[in-house]
Amino acid sequence: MNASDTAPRPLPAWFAKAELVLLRSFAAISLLLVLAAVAIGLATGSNEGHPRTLGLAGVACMLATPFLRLMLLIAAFIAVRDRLYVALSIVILAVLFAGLLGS
Amino acid sequence: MPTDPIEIDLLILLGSLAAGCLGALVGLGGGIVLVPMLTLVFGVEVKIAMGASLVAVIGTSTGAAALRGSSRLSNHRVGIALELAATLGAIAGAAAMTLIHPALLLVCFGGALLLTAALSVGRKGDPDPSTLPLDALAQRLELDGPLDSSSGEPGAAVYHVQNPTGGFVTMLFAGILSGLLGIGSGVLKMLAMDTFMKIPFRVSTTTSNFMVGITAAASVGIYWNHGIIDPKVAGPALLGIVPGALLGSWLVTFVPIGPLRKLFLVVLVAIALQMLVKGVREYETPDKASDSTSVASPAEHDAIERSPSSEAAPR
Repeated sequence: MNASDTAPRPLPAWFAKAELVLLRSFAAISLLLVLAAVAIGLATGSNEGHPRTLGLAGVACMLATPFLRLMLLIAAFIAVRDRLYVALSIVILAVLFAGLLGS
Repeated sequence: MPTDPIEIDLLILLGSLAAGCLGALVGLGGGIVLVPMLTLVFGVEVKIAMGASLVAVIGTSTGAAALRGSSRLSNHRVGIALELAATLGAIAGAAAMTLIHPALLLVCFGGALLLTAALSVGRKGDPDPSTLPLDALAQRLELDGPLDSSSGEPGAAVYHVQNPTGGFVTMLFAGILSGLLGIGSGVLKMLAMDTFMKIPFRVSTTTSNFMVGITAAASVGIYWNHGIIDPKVAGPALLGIVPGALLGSWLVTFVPIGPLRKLFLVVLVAIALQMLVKGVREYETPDKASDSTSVASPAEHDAIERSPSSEAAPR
């Protein structure tokens, strides 16, 4: 078989499990925080104060997920010693942080 | 239309649930439905609606991957190679968004809806992967992947990725649209991978889902720093759209998608025209536009959004 007909190195097996744990925990925490914000808002009749802070925390938690997912992917590329994709992933992470920190 | 903030939160939540469900059913994503719904139905300022949509896009991307896991089918190398273009485009688009008049954003959004509808009409089946030639750049970037998702063994049959340059350029455009309009641009991403790069459909969808979240994250920082992400709108939207998208992806096996998709495309064109008309009208009457679509601080926004006068203005 021609070398070019061979699939590239697969990512390590732990990556799939770690990604699922990360995504499920962050999605759950984020949605619970937002749900708490809406519930407290309903109970108190206002969405200012605690509900606003909780809602903001829930949204921030969800926004952090792609950053963490990318970091996990970098670790997976490091594990399979794929230097090109480690470098490309780091550049993308830097772009994400540039968007977050710059204005 | 209710004026009670809590009642509005609940309505946004229910509307987002429906938008997420519909977006997943027809395969166009929730953002393309959420922004028109928030602006046209709830009278939310267009930039605030786009910020909420970006959060919802990340939510649906995370939710879908959390339910099924992305790793088995996604081609992460393709995702990362193309994300380089998409994230740069998203940063440029988000930076442009801060400078563009809100009424012009409505016009751009109407145009993007029409583009989405046009791109969604018809899709050819996957070509036989064994008939595709090798692409030198794709080989160098190791973009090919296993046809059998459970296999990464040496010697396993692979699909050959085509035209990475075309995919890269399309992704740059998809990123710009995502940052500019607060949408996931999943349709353009699918166009790049499925049509231009000849990647198998199921691999394209899961890779697109992975990419959509990263692209949205690139521009969300700029939205956040400009105070465009308002938790009072983004929170209920997130809470509604994630379960809505999961419900839609479950319902997809029971609902006849063909007729629903055709009906939705007609509705999409009607919404696009409504957004275009609203944008042009507000651009021609700048005072009214600044009342209803300008970016305000969360406190100002709350006052505008909840005031009776703003209820009549944007609709």
